[in-house]
Amino acid sequence: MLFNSLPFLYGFLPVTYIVFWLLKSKTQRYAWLALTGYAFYAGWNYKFCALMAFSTVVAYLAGLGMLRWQEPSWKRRLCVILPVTTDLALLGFFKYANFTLATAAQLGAWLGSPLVLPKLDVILPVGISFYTFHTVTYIVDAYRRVIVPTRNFFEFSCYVSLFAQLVAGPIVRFRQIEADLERIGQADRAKTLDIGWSFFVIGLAKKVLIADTIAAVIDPALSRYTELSTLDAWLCVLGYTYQLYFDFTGYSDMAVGLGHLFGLRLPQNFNSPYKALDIADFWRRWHMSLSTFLRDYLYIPLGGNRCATPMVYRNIMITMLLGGLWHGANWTFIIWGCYHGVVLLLYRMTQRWWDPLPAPVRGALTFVMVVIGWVIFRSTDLAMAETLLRAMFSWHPGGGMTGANVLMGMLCVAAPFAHLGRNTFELRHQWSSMTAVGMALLFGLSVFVIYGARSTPFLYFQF
Amino acid sequence: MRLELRRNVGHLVPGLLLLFAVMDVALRLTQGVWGIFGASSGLRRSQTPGEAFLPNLRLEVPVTYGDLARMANIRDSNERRSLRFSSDALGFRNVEASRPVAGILFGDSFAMAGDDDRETLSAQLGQRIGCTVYNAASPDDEFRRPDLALVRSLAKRIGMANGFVIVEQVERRAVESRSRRERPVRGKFRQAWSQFWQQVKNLTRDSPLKRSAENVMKSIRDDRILPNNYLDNVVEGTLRNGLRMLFLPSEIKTYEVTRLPPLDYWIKLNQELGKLQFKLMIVLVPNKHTVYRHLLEGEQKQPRGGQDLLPELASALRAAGISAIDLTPVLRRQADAAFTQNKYVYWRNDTHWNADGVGIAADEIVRAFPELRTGCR
Repeated sequence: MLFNSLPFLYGFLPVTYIVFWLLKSKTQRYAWLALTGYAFYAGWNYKFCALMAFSTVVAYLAGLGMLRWQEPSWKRRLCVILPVTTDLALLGFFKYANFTLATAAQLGAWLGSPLVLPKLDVILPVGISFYTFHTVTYIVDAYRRVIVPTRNFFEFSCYVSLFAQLVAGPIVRFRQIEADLERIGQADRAKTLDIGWSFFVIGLAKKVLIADTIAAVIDPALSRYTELSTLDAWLCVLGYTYQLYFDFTGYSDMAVGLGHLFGLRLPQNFNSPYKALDIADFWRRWHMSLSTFLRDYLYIPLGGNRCATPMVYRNIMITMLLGGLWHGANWTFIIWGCYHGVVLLLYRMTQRWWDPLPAPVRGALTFVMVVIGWVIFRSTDLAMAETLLRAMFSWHPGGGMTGANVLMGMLCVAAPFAHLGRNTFELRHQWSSMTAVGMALLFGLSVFVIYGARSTPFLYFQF
Repeated sequence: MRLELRRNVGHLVPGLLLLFAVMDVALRLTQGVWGIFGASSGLRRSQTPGEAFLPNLRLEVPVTYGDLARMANIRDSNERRSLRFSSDALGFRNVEASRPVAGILFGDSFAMAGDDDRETLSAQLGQRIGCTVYNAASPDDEFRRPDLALVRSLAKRIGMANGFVIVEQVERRAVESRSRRERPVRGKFRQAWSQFWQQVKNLTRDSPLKRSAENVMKSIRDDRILPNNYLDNVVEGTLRNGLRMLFLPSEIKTYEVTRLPPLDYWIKLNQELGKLQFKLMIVLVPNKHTVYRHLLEGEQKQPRGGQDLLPELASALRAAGISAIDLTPVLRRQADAAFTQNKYVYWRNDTHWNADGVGIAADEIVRAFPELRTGCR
């Protein structure tokens, strides 16, 4: 089920909301949110609910184990190693089995000894990357004593399967939401109504009115990428740059808004990333819940900055490569991760020359580097990435793809918001009557578009 | 009591959502009365079980396009046509006639199709045999695969004591597996629930608000302002004369089916009708792609088993003692002949056959079932 669909807006959301506020005790509310999370997930494929339930039970039992064995011991260590290994093994199987087998077969053929490998055709369960990271952070934080594991199974289930962040994040750590979960029984409906809907409307408009309109132009053009002129290639790539931003921030805003409607404050996932002045700054602003996860659970345990320079470089490359791979089992994501790793290394090497440059120059250069990265990220294979980059950086005459005028118009709307405007978390969400009416009309327009067009999934659902 | 309008986002937005919902439901319920949303709304199906359309409907649409053209958002001026549609007092597409009724024709949109009420299969059959063949076809499942209760109630209402029950089945649906809805519904409560559920489905199927919004989006996504992404809804083919022909994707999917569906529904219906002195006749209509695939440029998808299933289905039905005719050979033959003169037996931008195709089918049915004429006397 998609947030930008009529079944969600007319059916799922009102029912979930009304029943939630009719229930009084916090356990009832936990149970209801967990149940609706599974119903929401079943809307995609009910068979994989069992997988999520299994992950939930494993992590919950690990938490209980750590409550039981407080002192450092092999039992306590087992409580972290076993469930994290199980979770990552499941993620690895569902996400990377097809890719690994195909790569092994290609490698065998390339080496002249073809391998006969089974063709598994494993289906990637939507959101597995996100809820696996939820359970992993919970277990590791419990082991590190950052959190006290909960004994309430419904509370934990609610945390894992909360529909607002279930399939595309943000990756919420238990400690970020723990206090709100504890107070869920006394949550004040009236207090969060305005901010919740405000976030939701802004997110919906970003997705439906901006990201989807851009996608309507660039998707058909990119499906025929070999025919693109230089102008069209740049338009498409810039279009994708803003599409991805408005799509993903739109989803995140809606998730945060929905969280507020149920008395839960989800963390910020984007902090105006296209305002970044260097690539490290970009990663502090883009998909913050993932980048902080990678920092806290991978980069720092690898040694982080506190080791010799070559080891720091190694840590950066490993983190970025795995970060790329997290996005999907494709060489393009691996290359994209490596690309960002290299750019981060270059930044570290040249920081003393970079930082004194004027801010607009640093901002523009960072943006161009990010855009080049998106070319690799958007490409279905390396040949497409190469063709697009060639079209962008060597002269290919022509132009005039269908919808180019609309795309340019959308870029003129999207770019100022992304580069100059305040992001949704910087707004106060206390609107004047006229602005509130304007937002309601924006919502009405979005709903009308949802009526008329096919609902398009969020780009990050595929990860 | 003083009503206070709260102009904050938390009240305005849910209020607007509620307004949309109320408007949507109201338009769904009243669209047949209003009739302001064009041809397809005029063809609104009835919410009453046993009725296909709103009774006594008169609809004239000067310019309309094929269903595939509409799905693909292609408005080719060469392919537009006009539509005249009437329903009788019982809510079926029939021209009032005083001739005796020889039979009832059930079926889907193929049996119902025609730019004019006199071009439908039942009308053309009636013209050939000199009696009325009552048209009880509708895109609803209820009329596509009727049960005994429906046949009896309709026969009673039109005053047909015995006669022919002709059921038209298009290939893509005829070869698909039997669905659950064909299981007989027993018990009063279950019947009432089934009727209620059917009404709910009818209500949810067609939203004027959605249609209006789609029309707006289609006018923008016309390959001039924005790319037309509706083309994915259909399969495009190029005929050997260079002209474009559109197909329903489910027609191509039919080729994946390799086994005949069970015939128990037909056998049971035949037995039940036989006891009431009715005679069942099944008319199997090929998909457009089945008829035209050999006239298309490029390599075309073929049935997975190498053979079309429709002839096999007709043979199996006949072996089970049911009168059945497969129209594939005659339509293919006539399509070939017409093609040499740049004519067609199916519309190029529509799933259905045109008046020529219907005429060919009517001729073939009368030839295959001569008792239709004798029954009329």
